[in-house]
Amino acid sequence: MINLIKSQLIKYFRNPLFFIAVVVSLTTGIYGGVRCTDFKDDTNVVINCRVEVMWMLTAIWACIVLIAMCAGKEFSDGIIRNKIVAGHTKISVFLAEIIVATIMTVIMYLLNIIPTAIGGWYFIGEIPVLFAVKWFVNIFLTFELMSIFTVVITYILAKRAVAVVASFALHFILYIISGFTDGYYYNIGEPKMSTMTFYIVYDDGTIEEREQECENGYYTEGVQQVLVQIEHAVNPMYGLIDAINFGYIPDKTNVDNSLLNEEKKRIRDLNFDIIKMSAYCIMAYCIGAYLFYKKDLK
Amino acid sequence: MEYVLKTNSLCKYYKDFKALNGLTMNVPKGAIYGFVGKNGSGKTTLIRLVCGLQFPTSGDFELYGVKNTEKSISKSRRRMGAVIETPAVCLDMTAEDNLKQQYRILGLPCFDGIQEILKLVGLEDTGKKKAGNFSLGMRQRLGIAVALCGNPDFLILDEPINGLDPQGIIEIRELILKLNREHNITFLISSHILDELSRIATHYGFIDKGGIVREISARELEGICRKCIRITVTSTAVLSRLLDDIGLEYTIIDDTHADIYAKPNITQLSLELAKESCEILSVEEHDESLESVYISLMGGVDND
Repeated sequence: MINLIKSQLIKYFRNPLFFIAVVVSLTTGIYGGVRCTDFKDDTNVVINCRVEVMWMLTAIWACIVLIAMCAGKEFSDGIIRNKIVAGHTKISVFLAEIIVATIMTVIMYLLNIIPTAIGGWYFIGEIPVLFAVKWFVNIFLTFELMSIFTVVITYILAKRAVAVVASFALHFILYIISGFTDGYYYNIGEPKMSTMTFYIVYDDGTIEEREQECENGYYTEGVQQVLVQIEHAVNPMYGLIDAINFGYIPDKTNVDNSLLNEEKKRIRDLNFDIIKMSAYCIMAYCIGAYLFYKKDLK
Repeated sequence: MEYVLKTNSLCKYYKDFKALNGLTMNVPKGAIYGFVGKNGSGKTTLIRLVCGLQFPTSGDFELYGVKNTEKSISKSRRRMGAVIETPAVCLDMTAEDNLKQQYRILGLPCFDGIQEILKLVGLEDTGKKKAGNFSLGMRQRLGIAVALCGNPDFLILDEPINGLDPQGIIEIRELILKLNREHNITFLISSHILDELSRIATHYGFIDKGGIVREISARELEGICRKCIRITVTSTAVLSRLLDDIGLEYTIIDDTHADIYAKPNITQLSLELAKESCEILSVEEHDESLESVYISLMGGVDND
């Protein structure tokens, strides 16, 4: 196993795509960190990281391309045959690839998250250490799950280009679905109608306060709400989205109950996501290993 | 006799298609086993099963006495090397780097012996040239070099001379013979090119529709390949009447040529033919080719 990992790591490090992925991860991480600092002037009640998810997604995509192209090359060059003929079992070959993909994921993740965390230190530094750890872990598990999916897809399809497209498509579809539903999920518990207070400033400087009933565009109930909750529970992209939307109240004195309940919900989501994403990683590995074991290699 | 590979009623089905159908064969140690069969007969499928790329549907095989169902089959596979269809090499690496990669995969502690292997296959001067820039013959030799890493004593070569020029074919042939004689490596070679196989194989396995039609040693094959006399006459019609009267087996090739599968008394034959105004123009000795034996075993050309 160590031999397989060593030989595969050397191929990754020699591939120009590795350096491109490093540059992409680091650049998007730095830019994400800079953007975080733009939102330092939060309310004094709830703070959150305000990371733009696109910069993390770009790093994940760079990882997907790197892993699909390197793992796929094993099939296009026929090297996978050499490994099996050399006496390695299919399971050990697959596991070695997962381990190497994980190493690449850790590298890209750290290059991306460290600058982001530095820029978001106003948030990371304020929340309890346990939550900060969970925040980091959730984001890492999203990177890791997408990498495992990529290895599984590449090893089953055995074609580089197709694996890149399929991995992208899977990730993109999951992200788009979460993008449609996250607004509805985060408004569960909010009333359908709410009173909004707004101020009109006239030319002569007078200010008039008005109240108006507004409908919550993201209100859900009944079956729709249940579906949104199921989708949130199942969609792995929420591991990242929940982390990014995680809000914490450092000073809980004289804080509205709705905000406290909201914080509890976010903490619950964070905990659930860690379990969910870890389970997904294990399931993806097991299913991938089984499918590859059964696959007739040419 | 010791056998490196023994298969027992090996079957491999892909949905409804039977690629291997009860294949039983034995590869003796030290042999160059020529695996002969037409396209789609199951040669490559068998090789894939032996190498562990696929699992048999039923039946089993033994590699160095270890059954394929046992866990220690992986250890047995370490004693073999294979080049299956196209050579498995990293195209963006040099020849030396490819061998180093294979050494790493095998877990060999150092890179000793790489230069010797490259010299053996004639790639010692490739330097920094990437495998992607090699000719087909060079890639084929690099594939064999990769298979030679770890000092295997059993090599499986699937169509090793496909696409090679005559010089390349000669080089591969001589390499195989050298490795067999000097290093006592057992070979299983699948090939369509019967003439080339007949120059090196010590044993043959004829496969058709997923099963072995016949296994035979080169010595036994020599006995089967019938000798004949090719006779050129002015009229084979006259010759055929005469041979029928004498009771000799023959084949008419055209109006003036015929093969006689016996040793007739040429003087007597000549005198008898002269009575009917037929002259003998030439007489030559011929051996039946491996191709003829193959066709007769496979049931004729029309079955292709």
